[in-house]
Amino acid sequence: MRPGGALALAQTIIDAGVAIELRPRDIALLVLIRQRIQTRGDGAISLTEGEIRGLARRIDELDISDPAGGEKRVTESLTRMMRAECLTRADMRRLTLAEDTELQLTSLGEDIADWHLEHGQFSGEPLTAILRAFTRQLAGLAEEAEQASSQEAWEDCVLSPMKHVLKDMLVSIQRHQKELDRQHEELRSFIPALLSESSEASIDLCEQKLAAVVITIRDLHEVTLTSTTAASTLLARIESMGESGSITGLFQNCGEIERRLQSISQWTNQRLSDWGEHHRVVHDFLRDVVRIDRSRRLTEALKHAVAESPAWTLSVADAPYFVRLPIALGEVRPLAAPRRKREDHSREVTVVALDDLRERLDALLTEAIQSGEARMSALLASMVSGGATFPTLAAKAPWLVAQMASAGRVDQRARNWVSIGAGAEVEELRITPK
Amino acid sequence: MNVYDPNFARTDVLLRRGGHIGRGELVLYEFCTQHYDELKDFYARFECQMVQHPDGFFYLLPRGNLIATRRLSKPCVHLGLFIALKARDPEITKSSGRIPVAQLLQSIETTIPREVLQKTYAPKQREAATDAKITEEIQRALRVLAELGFIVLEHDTVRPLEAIARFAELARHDNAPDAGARILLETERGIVFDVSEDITSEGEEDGEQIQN
Repeated sequence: MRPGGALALAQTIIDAGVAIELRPRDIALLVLIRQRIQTRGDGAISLTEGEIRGLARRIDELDISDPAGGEKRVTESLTRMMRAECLTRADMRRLTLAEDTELQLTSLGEDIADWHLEHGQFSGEPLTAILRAFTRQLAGLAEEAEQASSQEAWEDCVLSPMKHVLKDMLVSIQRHQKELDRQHEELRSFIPALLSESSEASIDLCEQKLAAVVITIRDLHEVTLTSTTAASTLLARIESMGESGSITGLFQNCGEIERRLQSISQWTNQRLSDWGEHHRVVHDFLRDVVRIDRSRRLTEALKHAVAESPAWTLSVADAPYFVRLPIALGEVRPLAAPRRKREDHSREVTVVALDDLRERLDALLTEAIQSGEARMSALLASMVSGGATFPTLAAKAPWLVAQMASAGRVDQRARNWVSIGAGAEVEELRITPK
Repeated sequence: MNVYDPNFARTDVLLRRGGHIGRGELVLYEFCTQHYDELKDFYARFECQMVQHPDGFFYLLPRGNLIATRRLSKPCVHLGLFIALKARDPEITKSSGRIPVAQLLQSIETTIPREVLQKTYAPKQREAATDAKITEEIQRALRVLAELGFIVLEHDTVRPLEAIARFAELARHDNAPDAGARILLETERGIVFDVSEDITSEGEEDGEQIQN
């Protein structure tokens, strides 16, 4: 179909409001109808409405929410299936009893039912068999590719079949994967019950189950190592053949298959790891718990122990860590990147004046002594007039007294209180040169 | 034994820090198994006994003062006991030997009497703040147990290791060992019976009491 045609169809679907609305009981009924038609053996492809209502009653037996509303439910189901174009009338008669109306599945209805029938049953085919079949099909495609000489031949003999081969393989593998996962979940839930029994029979059964797991692990391992490698080799061969003819669409197809193969490998590796770990844990449990403590004496004693605050403790070594010098060990740690400067606020800066009061007082004192006498009141008053604050002057006062006492002779008579300005007074200290 | 072997350095640091080396640390476990006699002689010079537990794992038991020892706090011991019990529950095989921390907390809450929890994990706490303190102490004890190689903490789950069996030593004697067994447990398994009542993690950084 041309892209333009598909777009027109998409427009029509949206305009017409085409929708497939089916409920679980509708799908279940589709499956039952499909199975009834397949197993009847008379070749008929339709069922009467009466027969379909009979099948619906079997669904009611499985899911009884309202026993009284069975007829209403089946009528609604039939309506939904016909609207979804999964079911259609098979007779052309207008006048007929409702019970005798013949209905048949459309191809859409058949496909939905078939899909669920296929996915609901597990054929038991091992994953290796699926991939071997896939590899055989790829080998056939590689032979076809050798013969193909034109783009059309490649399309018909290689590319289109390749898509179908991939689709079939994926369906089979997904079914197998689901089944393996389900089995594993069942086993995980079942093993604790066996371990709780602790009898020889239950241990044997547990070991049998674990042995089955080991076989599955081998199966998975073989898949991972051999089948995907073989398939990848064939894909590479097909790609190299198509390279010379510049076949369009080949690399996309091969790439898609390669990608799927890788995802299958990843899945198997993950399950291999999960199953392997589970296998180890159960074996450890059998060895350390079940076989040693059959009577559960130790477990019971532990239960009693945790019911009380412990009156004992364990002693362990506690040597301090060695001091590790990164340079000596040859380790150079990368320096942390500096933080970016924050831009949501500006830095608040307060300018603090340099505290040079002591130097200024010292200079004034020297000058005063040289002139014949120095008075503390005069020195401090000079500083106050220069802008110095009282707290800073008070902090320097002891130093000034010591400085003056050592620089000249103290006049013992001059002890009066003198104002130095702004309401402050000091006890006078007068010195003269020595 | 080659002391320049990187495995020796890793083993030595682990053992001196009170760690346990089990089959989970396969390379170091093999190293210990191969050089057990030499390592025993080596640590004897540090007044320590290198012990291989009957369950297989290795640890160091200081005998003198050359290497410091510490005693695990009550929360650590109780939690160790509880995890040892959970490790014997067949349900643990469902989750491949892992216990979600949330499930562990819930299990402790529903299994252990409230007064025991309070006495063990929050003895000096007011009633209103007890639950928070118990949770905090359990988380702290989990970290200590993980550091010492009793458990592995990964993605909010706890995976008990073989060394958790050290907490079941007393239970092997029905929690009431006779005099002979007590001596054996003290000398060979590092169990300390004369525990003063105030050994809790109160005021201690990592939930254990340090000696020496």
